[in-house]
Amino acid sequence: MGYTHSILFYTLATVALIVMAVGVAARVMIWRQGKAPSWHSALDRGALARAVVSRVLFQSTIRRQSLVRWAMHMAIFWGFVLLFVESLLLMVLDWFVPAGSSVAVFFEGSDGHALLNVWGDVWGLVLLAGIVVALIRRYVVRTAQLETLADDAVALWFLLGVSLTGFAAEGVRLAGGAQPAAEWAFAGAAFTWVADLPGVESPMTLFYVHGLASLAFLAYIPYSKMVHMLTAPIEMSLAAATARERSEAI
Amino acid sequence: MTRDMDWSILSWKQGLELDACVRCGECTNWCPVYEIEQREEVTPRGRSRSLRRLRGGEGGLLSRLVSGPPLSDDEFARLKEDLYQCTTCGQCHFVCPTGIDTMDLWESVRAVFAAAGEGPLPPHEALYRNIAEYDNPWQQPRSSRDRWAVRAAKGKNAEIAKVATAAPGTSEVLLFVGCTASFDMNLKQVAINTTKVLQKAGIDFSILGQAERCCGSTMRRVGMLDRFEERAKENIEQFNGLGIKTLVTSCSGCFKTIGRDYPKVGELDFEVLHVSQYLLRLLEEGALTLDTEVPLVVTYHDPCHFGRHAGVFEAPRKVLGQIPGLEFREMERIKENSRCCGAGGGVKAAYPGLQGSISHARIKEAEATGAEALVSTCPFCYQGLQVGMTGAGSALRMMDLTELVSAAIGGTSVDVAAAAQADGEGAVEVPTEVEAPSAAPSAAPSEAPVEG
Repeated sequence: MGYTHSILFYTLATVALIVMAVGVAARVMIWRQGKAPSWHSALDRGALARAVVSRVLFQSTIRRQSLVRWAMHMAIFWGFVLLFVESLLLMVLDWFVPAGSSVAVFFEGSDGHALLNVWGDVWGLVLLAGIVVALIRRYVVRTAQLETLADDAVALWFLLGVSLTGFAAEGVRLAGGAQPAAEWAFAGAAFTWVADLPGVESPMTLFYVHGLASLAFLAYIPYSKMVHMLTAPIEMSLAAATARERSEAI
Repeated sequence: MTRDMDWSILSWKQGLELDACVRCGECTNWCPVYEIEQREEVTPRGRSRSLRRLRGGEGGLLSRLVSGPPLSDDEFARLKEDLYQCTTCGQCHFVCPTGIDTMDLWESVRAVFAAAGEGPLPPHEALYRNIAEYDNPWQQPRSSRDRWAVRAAKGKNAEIAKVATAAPGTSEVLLFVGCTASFDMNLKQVAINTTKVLQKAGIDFSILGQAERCCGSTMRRVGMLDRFEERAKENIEQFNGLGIKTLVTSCSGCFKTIGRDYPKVGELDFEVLHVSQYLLRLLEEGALTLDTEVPLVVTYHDPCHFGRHAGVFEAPRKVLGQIPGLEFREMERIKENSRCCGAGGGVKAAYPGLQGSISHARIKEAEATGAEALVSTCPFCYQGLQVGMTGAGSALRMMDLTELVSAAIGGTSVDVAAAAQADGEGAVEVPTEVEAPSAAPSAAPSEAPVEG
């Protein structure tokens, strides 16, 4: 697979997930202080389902407000989600898929590598594009409605770091020798120069840098504004499911 | 400093909502208070952040880690004021990409502050005392609540026939006039015009007269939740005891309160309609015909508590559309994005200058349509917008929808009404001049209530 199974990495992953879970639990405990009814009539499940598709997955509210903001947020949202899916897939292949099974054979072959390379590069670029637009809005255009506190800055630069170290790790891996379907890693190929930098001779060095940055980002989510990754979809869905109670058009 | 905030007053969803702000700042493009104040702290984004810090700061280390540093005493004092520098217009809910239910959230957070003795502000306390003592926020005696009906039905030039006082089984329709239209001389005509129209349509209706009590909107909006619920229960019992089928309100604030807030307190045995909805029903059923030309260019202001809070946008427009000779023009910001008049949420009582500035912006928008009159369906907005008209030196005329409908049935001459307004006849009976209050409030009655 290009990457070797690492007990150390998964130990760190476990620690990161525990830190994240503790942060989420702290938030939930605060929410649970509230005892008043959250809604007074039955939830509209149809509206909830429609909201998940329209407001959460396609972010229709932002689209109506600004196409630039919508494209930016869609890029960050879908780039992050689909790269996360790829990471989960790699973990499943590493831990759960028996060697020699048809699935393992597929992903060890050049077709499987090509799929993973294209997937990672395309969604990595999409994520990066979204982050760059966000940085331009915040620091170049200085959009009036944006207020930049430390939390806003850290979240954005953190995400940029995770994204760039991902490409750098791939570039170093490609520079390390013949890789199956390397020609499909078109974006990573632009980062092979990273391997010439001092201290990154081993492909594992940047793999760990990127892996740890990604894990740290996950752990950071509930302690920052990025908690909206969890809370916003819930609120969007419930807002739609209770809209009739507020007499709003759904 | 330890603060005794009871966060159980919120729902768990409202707790989540404070964590669901993505800090995009879209609310800052729309918030009528921020437009004037230009301070981050008054924006929904700023308030959410302060409230997260306040709430998290009361917990342990983990709580603080996820919520940010605790608020200092100075920051807390500012937050209290900022919380009440909000008209609760609900615009932020409609533009928030996350759809946070800010309309309920801000009122519930105010309830947390009020329960801790940190709210509401002194002018709001004065209003509550008035309501407790007089059953209205205007400090007017109960005996004068139905004076409009008695006077209008008296003499050779009576404008209306005598209106029945509600009793169990009297009639199926109850007109809930509300405090503003009952006591404010400028706005008594709303009640009179409504009566004219209903009588013309042959509706058998009654009013509560001196037994009508404030709906309690004031208490709900500023966070006096327990007192609101007491008032709501009393009123629900009174209404249900009448055996009515339909309760019609003149005021959008009363409509939102009775129609949307009361059902969370107790069951209503009747439907609640705003007068514009009821008039539309009568028009559609053919019980009412508008056949007198009203040659006027008008625009319409959506009251926040009728539009955004209760979801009614079309009924008043449809009624206006049926008035012959009337030309209707929309303002730039309408319906879900309608600009607030600035009077709601206790702002008019506590921050009259801010209210005037917000209202001024709305008047400018109305003037841009080229309309001769600005129409609304809420006596409280009517008052609030008049402040803006005065401030702007506007030539616009403020009108309630019922005045136009009354004119369209031949019941009122719009020109006469205009003349009355121009020579000040309509302003002779300002509530403070009627009866001396036992305890003067800090806000003049014309600046007092909190609906909107």
